[in-house]
Amino acid sequence: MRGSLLACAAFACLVACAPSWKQTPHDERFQRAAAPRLHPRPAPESLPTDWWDRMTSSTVLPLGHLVSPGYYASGALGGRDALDVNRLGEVPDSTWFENRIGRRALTPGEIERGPGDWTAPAPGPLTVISGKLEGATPGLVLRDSTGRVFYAKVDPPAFRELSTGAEIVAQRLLHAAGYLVPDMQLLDLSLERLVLDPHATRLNSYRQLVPMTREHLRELISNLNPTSSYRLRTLVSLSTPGESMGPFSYRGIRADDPNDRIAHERRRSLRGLWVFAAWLSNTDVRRQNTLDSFVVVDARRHLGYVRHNLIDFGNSLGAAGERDKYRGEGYEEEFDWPAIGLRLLATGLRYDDWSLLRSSPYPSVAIFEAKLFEPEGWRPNYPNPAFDEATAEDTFWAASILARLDRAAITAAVRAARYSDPRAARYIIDVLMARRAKMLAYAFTGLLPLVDPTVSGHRVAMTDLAPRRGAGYRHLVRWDRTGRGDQELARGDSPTPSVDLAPAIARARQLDASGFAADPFLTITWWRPRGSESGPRVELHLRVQGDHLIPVGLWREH
Amino acid sequence: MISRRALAAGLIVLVAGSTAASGEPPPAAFAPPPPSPAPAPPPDPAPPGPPSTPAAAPAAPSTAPSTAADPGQTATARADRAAGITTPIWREPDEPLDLPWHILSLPEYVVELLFTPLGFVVGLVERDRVDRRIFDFLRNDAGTVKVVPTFKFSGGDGLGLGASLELQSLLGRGEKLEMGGVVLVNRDYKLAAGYEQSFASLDGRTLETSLEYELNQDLDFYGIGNDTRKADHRVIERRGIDAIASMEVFSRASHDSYGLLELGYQRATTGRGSDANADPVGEPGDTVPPPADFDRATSHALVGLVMRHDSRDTPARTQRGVLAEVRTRLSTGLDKANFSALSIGGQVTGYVPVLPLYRVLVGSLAVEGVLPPYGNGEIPLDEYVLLGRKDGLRGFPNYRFRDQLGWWGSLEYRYPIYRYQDSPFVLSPGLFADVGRVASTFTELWQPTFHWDVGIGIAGEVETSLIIRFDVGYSKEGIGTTFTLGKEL
Repeated sequence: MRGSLLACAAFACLVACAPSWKQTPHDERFQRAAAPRLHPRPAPESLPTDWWDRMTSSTVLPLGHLVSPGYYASGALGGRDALDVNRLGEVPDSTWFENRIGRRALTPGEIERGPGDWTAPAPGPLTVISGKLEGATPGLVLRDSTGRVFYAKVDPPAFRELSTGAEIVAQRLLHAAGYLVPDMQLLDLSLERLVLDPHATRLNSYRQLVPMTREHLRELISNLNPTSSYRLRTLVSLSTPGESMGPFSYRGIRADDPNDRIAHERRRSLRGLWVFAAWLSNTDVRRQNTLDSFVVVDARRHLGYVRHNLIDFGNSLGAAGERDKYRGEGYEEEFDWPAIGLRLLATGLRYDDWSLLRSSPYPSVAIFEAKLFEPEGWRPNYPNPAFDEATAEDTFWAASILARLDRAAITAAVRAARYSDPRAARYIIDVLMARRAKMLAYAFTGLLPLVDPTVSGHRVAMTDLAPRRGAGYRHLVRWDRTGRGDQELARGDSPTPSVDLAPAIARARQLDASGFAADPFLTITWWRPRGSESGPRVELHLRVQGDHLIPVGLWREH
Repeated sequence: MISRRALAAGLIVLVAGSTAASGEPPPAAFAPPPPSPAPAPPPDPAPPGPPSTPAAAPAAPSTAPSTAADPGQTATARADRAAGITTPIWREPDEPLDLPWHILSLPEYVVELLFTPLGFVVGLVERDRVDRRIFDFLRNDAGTVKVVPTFKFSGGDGLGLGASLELQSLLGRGEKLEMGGVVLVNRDYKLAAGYEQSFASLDGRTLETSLEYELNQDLDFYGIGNDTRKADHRVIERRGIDAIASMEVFSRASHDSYGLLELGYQRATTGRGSDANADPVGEPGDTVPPPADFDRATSHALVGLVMRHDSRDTPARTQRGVLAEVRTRLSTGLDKANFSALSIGGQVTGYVPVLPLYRVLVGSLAVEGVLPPYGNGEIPLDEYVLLGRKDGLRGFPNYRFRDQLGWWGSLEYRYPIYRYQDSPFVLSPGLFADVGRVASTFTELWQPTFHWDVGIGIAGEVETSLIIRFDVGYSKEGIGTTFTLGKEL
């Protein structure tokens, strides 16, 4: 009896000491989150948050960081780990993110088409049901004859194709990467199709909903600078699935959403978004450009779940919404106190390189460049709490997706933007490629970018995302024995990260058949020699299940 | 070799205790793996789930675990899943408590908490656009009738609040009428009215008139002379009426050089001041002699001519050019007391771009003298040459030095440090040094003993006007601060 108890205790201890990747059921590749709990629609925010969000992110939070030992400790220790990650380092599909090009290659056609099965507004009149008249580029809410509602945006009058083009390019690429974005397309809109709904409304300067009159519509159209044939290049987007609930925060959780249990700043999908924002020069990555929508599943009881979307990419490439980007956008925050302080101390004897930036020759591109762009120096207009928490692993995850967005994919996205000047389109593609190369070089520095473990029989291979691979790979295979010390089974060199594990498995079985049957885990360590140093390593953990292998864990040294 | 990741993980365990580290130890160490959290139970297979787009993957809207074959999945993989060895459903971890991290972050939470009420106010203002409502409430749609709030802050006098009513072109002739007042916490106050009118028949010249009444109970006074001490600080009460009419003698629109002819009347009454930090002038036995027109009322007629040459490229954020001014003014006593003064002065300020991107050197030099025009008369207090915080020496107290003659000079290096987006608003600090002295004779004026200060200022400006400027100057008498709002440089 006593012996049994001791044996049970020893077994329990062994199980408790086992690494998490050994526990069953093992994570498959490209998992998805559990189905969300259905709940009633959460209440929307009672107060607008845009101004306060700007003040908080630009001033209050940096001030808090300044006096917080936790901020410095977190920085010194490499940051806190992301939580929306499985044991293979992947972000599972969820209401935040869906693996797309990370899971499988997308054809250029798929990327050009974007999300959803787009159907253009039905022919005939487009009824204006609401409008935003303020600002240089007003927006309209339109309803076609079938009752579908579209949001319409146009370019700044002096910069044709700038904002609409940038928004389409960014939306297509972010969608391909896996983010949830609204469906949008470009439309050569004849303004004669616009008719005013008798109950059309607009927000006045006091944010009150007031009737929209014909005079307002006429004034709006006259400001849009249409072509001589009274047509206008218009970006029309469908609303995101579900009922709009306002923005989500890049920090904390939405307390009235029972499925929202991971602090947003600890989501790898949001942390890694900085890689794409920097690449696309999308400088306005604030909560105001996000949208939670409530998707009703049980219509009778009005129960559903919240879907988290990214919206409004009009600040991408050289565009800044209603204008072109100014010098410094993307290189400094709008209230970059450290940069201001440094310039104060430098007494004007040092100036920033971006202050001499020149616009591209194309008005549809404006300032968008790759020469001065440095990923580590890129800044959004306002600090983003999730970006600030990004660790090297988060950056690598996003970069591993970015690496799959090759020239063909980028060309497809730019083609969707239908730039009238092919030189402008080529310029954008070239700049995006150059920025991508810099981003990948930054994200892959100091680590071995092996991804996508594949198993074929007993041969295990990985894909190296490094643009310049150099020398071959070394590997070490060991029997990963819980509580008994590991046993080296094989080591060797190979020109590619690929190894046949059949001999190693045979050797393990030969050493201790029953032990291997109870603890059937192998770990392959890959590294690329750098002169006399070993270089950063990647470990792939595998379970030997009968006569086949299952990847169950991945660890990357950096 | 221990990796940085392993070090970090170890430190997190040591310092933060509960922070989860997902990476495993490096192979070289072959250390026993850390304890893992207990496996979470498999999720309930609920039917609904987030939608998937066609490009994302399977069209099936459910994220529930399924043993159905995924496209491309092998039979062995399906068998593994069916046997519970693998799962397509991610087990969401509980967020770690991270107690040590939260404790270390307490100061950050306190800062956020302190600002939270402000967030509520900002939200309310944004929701109802209270800012815009107030702005619109204080003016008519055409902008011809405006109420302009006035705020004043002075280290000595405290906060001041007031308002002025501005009426523009009510008669459609470009006229401007302004009237208002400001009251300070120490009950000093000022009432003012002004009228401005351009005359097309006079080549567009403008006539400006102003009428002011002011009570200042603590006008700073340190005596007369260059060697007065800071400890000689006294205060004077001054009540004054100033009525001035001025007319351009050249048209501003067509010339860099222009002039103003001024006519005016001034009546001032001085007496014992009151201030918590300084004694009044005129106490028995005081070593600081009061000014000649102390404790009496005087009336003066004024006539003056100001000639200006302005070749600056812009009125503010100036990069190059010269602003030169010559002033003459005759103040003649209208009562029996013989208080009169003739003052002559000039100031020249040059702007030189020393480096590109708005890095500019600004040099100024001013000389001024006042004398009794009619032989042995006395000079009124208001007519003395002044040096101090607002008059050339930014590191000294206000009204610090008074005498009949004076000069001051300054050198300032300005450079931009911030521009808000692509707006014209720019923040530009200026490193400056000021020197100057007052004297009673010309011989004394040029003696090599002078007062000096150094300091730094920061200006928020657009190219057409200064919006805000704050200067901090250091002198042997301490630190002086100057705050300027909306004044053209």
